[in-house]
Amino acid sequence: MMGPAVRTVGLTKEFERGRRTMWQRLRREPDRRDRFRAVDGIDLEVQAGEIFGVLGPNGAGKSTTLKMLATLLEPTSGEAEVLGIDVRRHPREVRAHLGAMLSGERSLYWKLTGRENLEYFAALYHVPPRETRARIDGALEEVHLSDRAEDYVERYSTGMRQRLALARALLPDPPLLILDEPTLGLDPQAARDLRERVRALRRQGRTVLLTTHYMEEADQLCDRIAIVDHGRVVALDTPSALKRGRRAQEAARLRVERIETEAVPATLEDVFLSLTGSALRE
Amino acid sequence: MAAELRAAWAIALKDLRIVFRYALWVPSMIFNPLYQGIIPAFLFGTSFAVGGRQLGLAASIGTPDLAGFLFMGGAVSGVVGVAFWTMGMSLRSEMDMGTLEPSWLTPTRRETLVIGRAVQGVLITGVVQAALFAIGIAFFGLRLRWDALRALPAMAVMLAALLGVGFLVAAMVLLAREANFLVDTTNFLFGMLSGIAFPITVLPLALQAVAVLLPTTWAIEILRADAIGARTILDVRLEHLILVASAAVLVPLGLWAFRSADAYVRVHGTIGQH
Repeated sequence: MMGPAVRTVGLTKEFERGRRTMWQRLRREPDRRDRFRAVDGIDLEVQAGEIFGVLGPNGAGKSTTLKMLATLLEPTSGEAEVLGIDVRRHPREVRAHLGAMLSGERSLYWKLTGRENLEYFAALYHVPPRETRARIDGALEEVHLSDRAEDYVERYSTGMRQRLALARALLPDPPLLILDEPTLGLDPQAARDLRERVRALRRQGRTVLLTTHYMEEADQLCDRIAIVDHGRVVALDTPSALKRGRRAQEAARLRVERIETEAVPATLEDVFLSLTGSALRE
Repeated sequence: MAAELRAAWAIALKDLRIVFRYALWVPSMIFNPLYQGIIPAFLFGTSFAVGGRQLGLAASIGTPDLAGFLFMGGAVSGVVGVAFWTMGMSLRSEMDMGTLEPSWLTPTRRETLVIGRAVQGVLITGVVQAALFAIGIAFFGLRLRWDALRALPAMAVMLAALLGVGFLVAAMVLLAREANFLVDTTNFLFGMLSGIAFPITVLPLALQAVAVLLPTTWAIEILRADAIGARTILDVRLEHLILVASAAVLVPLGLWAFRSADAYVRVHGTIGQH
């Protein structure tokens, strides 16, 4: 594939804040709701073959950005291309080439077995019938679930369900995967295993775009990170470059002053809090 | 096209598997229409029989066959339920489960995601109706005539028309999300006004005006005419024509509403909300 795996220019999404009741609509009262920008002109270029992390506090616009790229949401303005395909003009073509894991374990049919779930989604991904079995076996092997494929999903642990959701995202054999907080709610072992699966995807030459809340995860996993706040990219670089940057040094100095002890290098969390502040965002 | 058909079948198969894994769902699907509709209406009608004959019914529709009248109405009512509950309202349960969003993330057309459910609904309804007819023959004196098969083309057109209705309901569910009351009420009114349990000629004039707009009114008319020899309100050829015309209006109308609702959901981001 030529060019970046993902490219956005001025990508913007506006929502209304508050609600307009049916009564107000019927009376044709003017719409007094505020509009706010969940995503405010994001420019991104994710290169093929890299693991790119989008890091940000709650409500920063990470998931909204991913949903626009996955064609679940219509951008208000700006441009977005996935694998060189315009998400607004050709949404079905984007979906045919994209593996997405946006909502984790709840997104599976618990009364079906792991294999039956994948058979169902393989048909929805238009996997040719002759390839279906091999594609499903490969995906199950990839996430280490081959031996539990015939069990009902309701008997899986949370980590296994997350892995099955990842296997589903692999069904279209996608060059690009987008994962929204893939390790959310997992215990350390399951999270570590899933991170290893993501690294394996990069080794296969796939591009991974993921969001996470976990600084360590972003630090260990991502080739580059965009820190997003209030719908904007406030920093974008490799984890080590972010930690070496001016804001990182400031954060480290403040930390040293605060704890009155020997200088320690800045962590990614220091950089993150320095850029986005420490106030709660709910 | 072949890929979309395979996707529709996969949706139907998935739903069938889930239905049969809840062991009590299937018997409840058979017995619910029996004790909620057919048995009370049958006993009520029987209590007004004169010398064991349904003279009032015979005067209204030209045959005293109460069992045939009710079971044919019940069969159409089952298909109406597919449009309202299986096609429309099941989107709501998928929203609740969190499984709608991953289906929406695939290249399968959104219309196919609804049609697949209709396939499952029609298959289940076919099995349920066969069981209901068997119960009718065994316990209620139901007699099925081969002539009933002549109504199959009309039933096929009715299915198409109800597909349009199903898309309208699906659009309503996507927009309103909590549409339980709305779906329940409109399903009830749709069935009642179509004359599933009584001839529409007994309705007040204003409601008759609504009844004649429903495709199911004419489908029931044609089915009863062929299956039990009931007298039709209009010439049967005209009834076929109205049925075809209603399908020709409802299918594009339903598709337009569903596509508009899908576009609205994409703008407002409500597909994952419930």
